[in-house]
Amino acid sequence: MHSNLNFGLACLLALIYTFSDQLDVPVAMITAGRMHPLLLHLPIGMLGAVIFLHFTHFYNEEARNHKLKPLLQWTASFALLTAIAGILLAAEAQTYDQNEIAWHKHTGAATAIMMLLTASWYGKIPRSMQHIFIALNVLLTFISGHLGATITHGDNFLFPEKSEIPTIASDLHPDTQSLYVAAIVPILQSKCTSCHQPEKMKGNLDLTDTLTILKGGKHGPSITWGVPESSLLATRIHLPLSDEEHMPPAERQQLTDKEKQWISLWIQHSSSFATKVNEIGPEHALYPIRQAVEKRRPAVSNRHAFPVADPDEVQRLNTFYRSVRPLFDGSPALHVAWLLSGEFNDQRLQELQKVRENMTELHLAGMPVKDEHLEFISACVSLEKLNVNNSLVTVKGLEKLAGLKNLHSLSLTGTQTDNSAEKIWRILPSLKTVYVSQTRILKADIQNWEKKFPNIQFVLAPGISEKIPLSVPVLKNESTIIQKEEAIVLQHFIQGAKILYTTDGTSPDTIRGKVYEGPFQVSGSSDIQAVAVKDGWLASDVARFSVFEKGSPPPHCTLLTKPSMQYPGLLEKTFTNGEQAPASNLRDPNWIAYRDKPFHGLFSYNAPTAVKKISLSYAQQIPQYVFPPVSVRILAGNSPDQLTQVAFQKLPLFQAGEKDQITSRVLHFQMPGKAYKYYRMEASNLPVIPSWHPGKGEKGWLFIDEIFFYE
Amino acid sequence: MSHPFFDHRLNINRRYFLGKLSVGLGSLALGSLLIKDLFQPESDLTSSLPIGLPHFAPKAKRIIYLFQNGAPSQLESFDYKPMLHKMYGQDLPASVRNGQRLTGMTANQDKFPLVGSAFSFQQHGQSGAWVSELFPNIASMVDDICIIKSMHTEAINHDPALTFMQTGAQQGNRPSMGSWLSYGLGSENQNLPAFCVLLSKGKGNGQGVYSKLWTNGFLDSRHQGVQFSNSEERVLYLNDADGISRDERRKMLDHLNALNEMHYQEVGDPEIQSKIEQYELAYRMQTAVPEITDLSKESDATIKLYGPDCLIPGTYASNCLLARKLSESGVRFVQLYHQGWDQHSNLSGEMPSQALDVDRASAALVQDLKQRGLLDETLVIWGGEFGRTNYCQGPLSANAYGRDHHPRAYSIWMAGGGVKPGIVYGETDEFGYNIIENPVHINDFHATILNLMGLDHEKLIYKHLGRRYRLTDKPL
Repeated sequence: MHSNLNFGLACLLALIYTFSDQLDVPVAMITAGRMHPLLLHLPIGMLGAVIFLHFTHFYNEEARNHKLKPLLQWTASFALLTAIAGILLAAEAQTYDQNEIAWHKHTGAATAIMMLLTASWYGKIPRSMQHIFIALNVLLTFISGHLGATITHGDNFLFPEKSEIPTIASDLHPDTQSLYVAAIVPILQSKCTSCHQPEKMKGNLDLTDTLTILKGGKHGPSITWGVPESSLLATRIHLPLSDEEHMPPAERQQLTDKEKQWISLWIQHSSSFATKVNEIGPEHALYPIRQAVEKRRPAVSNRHAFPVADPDEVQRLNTFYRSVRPLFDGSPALHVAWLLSGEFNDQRLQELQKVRENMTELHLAGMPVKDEHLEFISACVSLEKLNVNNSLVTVKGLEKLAGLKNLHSLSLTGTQTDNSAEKIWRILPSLKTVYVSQTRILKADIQNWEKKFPNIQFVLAPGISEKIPLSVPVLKNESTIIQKEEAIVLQHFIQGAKILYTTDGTSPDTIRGKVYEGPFQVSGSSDIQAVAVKDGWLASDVARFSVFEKGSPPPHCTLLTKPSMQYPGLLEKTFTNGEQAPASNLRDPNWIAYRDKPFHGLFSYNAPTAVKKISLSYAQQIPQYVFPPVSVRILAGNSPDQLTQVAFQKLPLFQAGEKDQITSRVLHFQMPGKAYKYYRMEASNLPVIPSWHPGKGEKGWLFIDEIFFYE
Repeated sequence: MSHPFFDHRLNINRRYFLGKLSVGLGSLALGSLLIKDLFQPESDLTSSLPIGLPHFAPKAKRIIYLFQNGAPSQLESFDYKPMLHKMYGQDLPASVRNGQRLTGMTANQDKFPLVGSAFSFQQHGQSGAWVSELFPNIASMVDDICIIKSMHTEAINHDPALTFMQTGAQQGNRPSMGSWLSYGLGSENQNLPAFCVLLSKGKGNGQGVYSKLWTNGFLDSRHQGVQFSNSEERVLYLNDADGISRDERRKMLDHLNALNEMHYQEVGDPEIQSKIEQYELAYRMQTAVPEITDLSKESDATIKLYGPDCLIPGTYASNCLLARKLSESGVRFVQLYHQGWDQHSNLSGEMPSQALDVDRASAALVQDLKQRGLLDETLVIWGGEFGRTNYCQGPLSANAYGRDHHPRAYSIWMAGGGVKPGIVYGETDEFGYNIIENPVHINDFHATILNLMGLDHEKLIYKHLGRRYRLTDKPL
């Protein structure tokens, strides 16, 4: 039954095979033809199963015949169907190269017929013949399959070769690369040269070489410069897809619109293959292509021609004092940097001997490089960048660098170089940039050289010539609350700066200020004011430091109003524990804060004590709604119920735009000097924040860290 | 020592074993093809740091990122909008805002009064870029920098925006940009961390800076940013304790390493290896750090360039100077944060002091790198996490105004390695609200930076929790 069906299919195959040249495939059958690439996989897979069964049931002829026969029939059916579909496809899609297809057609048809014969005779022939039939099937399937795959995937699909384009080494260099190599070759390579290359020569055309492109194929030259309309390379790609002449063939990957446009533009605006990418100006019609090309290519392509250094040697040279690294993955050029000045010496420099021709960048800034070391450096012939900033080299030593023909950047900042360096500029032919700031070279020298050496850019930072003010001196004591006998230590970080200070609340100048020569002592609570001066600089602003001796804090304190739940500090202990808190950190536990209620506190001594001065230290952090107190009142007496006011101060409101938004401040109150047992302090927080502040209308915070009492 | 990838026994549970079995030998063979040295033994401890190399020729070798934390207003710095003066006090047209979401701080405002810069602008340099009077030193070097006026982000609040800028995602836990670069390019100087972090604080309204911003995320902890201290001792606890000599320290470390190595053999956690390496790095830092952080030998000319504060530890200026020294010594990524740029109110009062703190030193850093021949290999980036609104937050008064967060357009600048100097990239509309030309999303920004460093942002990946991550992962 099945064999009859297969016989019918074979007849059909024979028919269309014979008349394949004259076939006119009806529309309804086109889809059938296009099933070919799908169908063909079935008989190939089934043939695999046939071989498997053939050998696994080698000694059981019964089972072999029983199982294999139906399978063979099915295999034959699909082989025949595949062949029929293939011929239909070949007839319908005229774009295929008929020569290439011919052999695929012949072998494909032969494979199908062979499969049919095997299926029909398998049970009737001796075992040795069975082997031969199976082998023939495999062979034919392999050949026709390979030919078919070549049509779809092109040559070199299985064993791709590296393409050799571009041909000239200089073409790789981004500065000299032609637009042809940069923009057109990649298009041709991806879309055209799988067919139009020396080994295939479809249409007798080879698009892999500039000469053969000009020569063209069987229809004539591919390019007529300036006239894309008569350049086959441009016209063929722009034809409608249905056109027989359209390239690439309809079933191949097509050029994108941009690629088509680039090829036409390139032909129209070029007169040879030589147009360089970097010669195309912004007005040029090809400029958009240049931009696109430059965008996609890596920063600097591999422009170094020398061989890669031994990776093991490079690895060995990397130590804790020296870094030796390729510029990027695959680059033969090495960047060498020294990392520790104490570890630099000639012997270690000489260790670079084996890679010296690979070194293009040498970074020795801050190293004790002397003239004698330049001997070795002069042998690093590939060197392009040399940085010897802040080293000990002199002009005399630099003369040794004459052999560095590729050196284009030389950094001499912070060296003792002077204007005799002119001869160095002469012996380095590739020099483009020289860095000579903070040397003995003057602006006048540069102006002179700029005329003599128009190709060299001299970088000399102008420096700051006008005087600027110094920063303020700083207080080095750990805390502004000082212990008995503790000395005040001031510091300025700039070497050679002199500090002038006062302790009497006046502002220090050259007349009133004492020169700070070392730690000094103060007593009680003092406002120290200090300025820094130095030749060549303006005097600093005045720095104010309030320092406090601990004084004689009353042993007892009662909070009459409750502090904020959020910032309770150390409650009543906060005021007299001798710890101040930083204004920048309101979360410090030495801050106690009031907002809903003003601060009222009662301090008591065991016996009446004559307090001379009380100082209140508070925070001001305006952006965080922390304001100075509005008013402070101090009452004193010998019974908590009978207190009289001894001091009162109302503070001016903090204004918008006022300085010192984040700082600590102190208020001093002179006492009458009479002895009292009880002292009560009342400080009110800002009841309503003014309208310029984002917290307008709300209550301000009051932060207190310490209250000092002095007898 | 075999490769940690295969030695990591913690990874080998039943599911892992069965999973591996199915791909087994095939993946090993493929792995050896793809990763050249997968089966090569490693020579010694220091070299087991991955020697990463750029994928292609880089334009910049190192980065210094001057992060202006809190979001400085673009309208008072680099994006000059005279229209906001002309329409002073008028409501922001709804067609311009176009339904843009606002923060909770201004969403309930019934009016959005436009307000122009309280500070005057001038054109500078050959490029003719507009810069406000608050930044005279940056203005004087506009021909060395590239101002990008068309940055935009998706985040509207500080923390997610900052996290997005630094890690490529708003949610946190991803590796920071510096960690990615440490992972991709390795360390140039074995004596210093590849990723260093320096903090400073201005007087303006500040926003938090958290260590999650310099986290290594899922990368090995050796790629974590190392925060420097603001005290005179820039790396705390680096000095040996009294009475411990260098030799004794070495012996102690050797014994400790041996113990750690034993533990590693037992449990196979690669973080133990990282710990050993961190001890070794700290040992080498003991020599390198004092040499680099000693700013006292800087010349008077350099000190004047950065300004008189540059020797006071913890100031922005000293961080800039230190950043130059670290970068010069091969630190791959130096990250600065300067707090205090969040001017919701009293902008005209706070911004001058903020600008004063950073203007001279930022410009000095670029000029200093330039005069040392380092600018062409160092990328300097200056900017915040988003912009500020063109309308006033709260009611507008004659002497004060504030601006809310604005993610749709803001300005940053870049200079050095691979950046075209003297240009202004991108443009905003006349209200400074929307971008009308060349928008730069944060993913674009990251991709550009990686590209300048010679890395393909689609190839710098790390597999974690079953998927491949990269810095430019599109956020969901």
